[in-house]
Amino acid sequence: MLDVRGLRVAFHTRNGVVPALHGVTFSLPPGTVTGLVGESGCGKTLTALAIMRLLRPPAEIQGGDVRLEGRDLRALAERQMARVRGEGIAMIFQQPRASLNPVFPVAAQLVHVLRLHRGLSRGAARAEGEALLARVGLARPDAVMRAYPHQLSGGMCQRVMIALALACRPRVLLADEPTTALDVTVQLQIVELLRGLQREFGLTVLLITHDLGLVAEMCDHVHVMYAGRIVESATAAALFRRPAHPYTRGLMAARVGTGSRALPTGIPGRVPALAETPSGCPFHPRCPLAGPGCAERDPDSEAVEAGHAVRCHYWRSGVA
Amino acid sequence: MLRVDGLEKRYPVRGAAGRRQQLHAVDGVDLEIAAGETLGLVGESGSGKSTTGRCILRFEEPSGGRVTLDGVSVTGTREAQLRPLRRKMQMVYQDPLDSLNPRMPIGRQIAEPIWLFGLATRHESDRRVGELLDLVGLPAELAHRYPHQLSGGQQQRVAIARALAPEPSFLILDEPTASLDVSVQAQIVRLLAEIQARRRLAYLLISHDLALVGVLAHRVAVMYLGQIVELGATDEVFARPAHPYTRALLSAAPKDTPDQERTRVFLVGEPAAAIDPPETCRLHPRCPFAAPSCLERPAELQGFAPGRAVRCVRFLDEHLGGTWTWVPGSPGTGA
Repeated sequence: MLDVRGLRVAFHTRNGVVPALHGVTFSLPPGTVTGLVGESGCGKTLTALAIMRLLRPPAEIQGGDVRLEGRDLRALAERQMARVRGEGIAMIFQQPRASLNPVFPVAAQLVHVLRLHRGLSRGAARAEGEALLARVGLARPDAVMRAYPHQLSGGMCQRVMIALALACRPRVLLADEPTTALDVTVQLQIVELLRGLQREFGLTVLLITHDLGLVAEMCDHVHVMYAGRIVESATAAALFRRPAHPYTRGLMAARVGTGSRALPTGIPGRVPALAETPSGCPFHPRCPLAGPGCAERDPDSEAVEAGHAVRCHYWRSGVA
Repeated sequence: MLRVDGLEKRYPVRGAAGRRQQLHAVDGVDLEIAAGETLGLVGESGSGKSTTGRCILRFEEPSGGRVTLDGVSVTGTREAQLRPLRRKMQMVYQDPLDSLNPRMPIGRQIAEPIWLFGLATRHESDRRVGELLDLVGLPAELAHRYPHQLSGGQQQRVAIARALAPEPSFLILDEPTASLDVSVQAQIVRLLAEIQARRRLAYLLISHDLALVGVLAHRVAVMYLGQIVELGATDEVFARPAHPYTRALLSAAPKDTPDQERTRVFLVGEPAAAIDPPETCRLHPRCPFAAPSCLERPAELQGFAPGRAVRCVRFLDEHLGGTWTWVPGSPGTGA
């Protein structure tokens, strides 16, 4: 459905060009949910913005290929790309209220999108808008239509955001930390909603998150990112059963299990800043498995088993 | 050690048509924390958990109730005489930059409370700063750095060292790991546990994160719209939650692995604000287990087992009536 090959993004800074994505490669199989997991600064949101061609200076795409159903998105004119945004790929964000226009009621924003992208008349767009709001679980769609974003709760704003994303009937949905800003009980409601919609519309979803719990809840496939690279790719089941990369294993050990009283183990050190990314494998200064060669050579991808790849020189010595 | 009785904080608000109303942010909260103990205060945004913490330290004036620390009344002390008490109660915030001065080297920030409270001479305080940095796992050379030169995890370690500098006996931790990366959160959790074991500090851990409370807190108090709705030893509350809200919170936590089975308790909608709230159960409009009898009498926090209390009319009726079964997600014999 969506194929990303060797995507490279860099920032232009006073101290020269600083690479941020070092050849990110993955595809989204149709009708599945794929997780892109990593901590802040690993490049997961940057990847999504690059796919959507929403990067602004000083960030710039320096190479690679982004194809939606075979169509080269980087080669499209801006006008064609504007149609792809929404109809081809829609995106929802972490801060739903900040992503809605504060000076227009929900109705204006929904009707605008429905008329622009689906060519509906004003009346039809209004009816369709209310139907969408009902579908995303808003109890009184007519009242929500009249409301301004500040009059809605965070959970309601996220539902409106999802309705807006669905309005153009996209084939791919990029969801960037869609539940992070919400309360736990509301998070659960939104996860259930997204899961239901994904099945109903056969959506292809890229879920960007720092939360392995959300991956366990929703994802079929997972890519773990560190310092602008995908360091491990697997099905969600395989990743949790047999994490191969020492960073993935560290992330798992850093979680607190429900009902567990064992103190979690952190990963020593910290996520490197872009400008000070270590040489060779970027994880080597924090890595319990680091050995000769790690500081010099960035490892290539190796297969753990079919459909499970890892970038680590010494992964074999860590896997049980 | 720390005792809170009937703590209240109300804010005047204007309702529809300019009607004067009261927002009951904290509504009759009772707590006790012993030396060396961690009490987890859990709830979602708007539950009043952070306001409770701020009222205990008198960063906000409570509207009612009493707070005593080591037998000394915090609420009965005039603002001008609060200083010696404030030395004993310190706070660690979610965002370490909220409590650090961006224009002062971190060593001086840690030393400041030591001089201010006259705990050591300037000369001696250098040694203490070194000890505190060591305690929080930072090299002594960092004393000359400024906050922006440190990572988020290091900043939080500095904030903890600064809170410990005046030698408090009680620490309020307000979402101490929420702003940090997952791999760094675990380091801070371990550090907090170690410090408590060494210094026998009492912690009030304010958090929405049940997993964090599960590993750090000995006892847990669950808050909803200004009230404590459940209280008990962490293990027992997590294993057998009595209040529907506690059940919903626990069941909402993400799964550990994709193949884990979990029974979910869904609440309807989102919490309202406790503006002129009724005396009856405040969860009622959202509760999947609500029954007509729930609104027949005020919902009071009542003990039902040693060390445990709950504010749920239906649970208390059915539990005391012997018809309650501890099936996850289903109180009583109902679904």
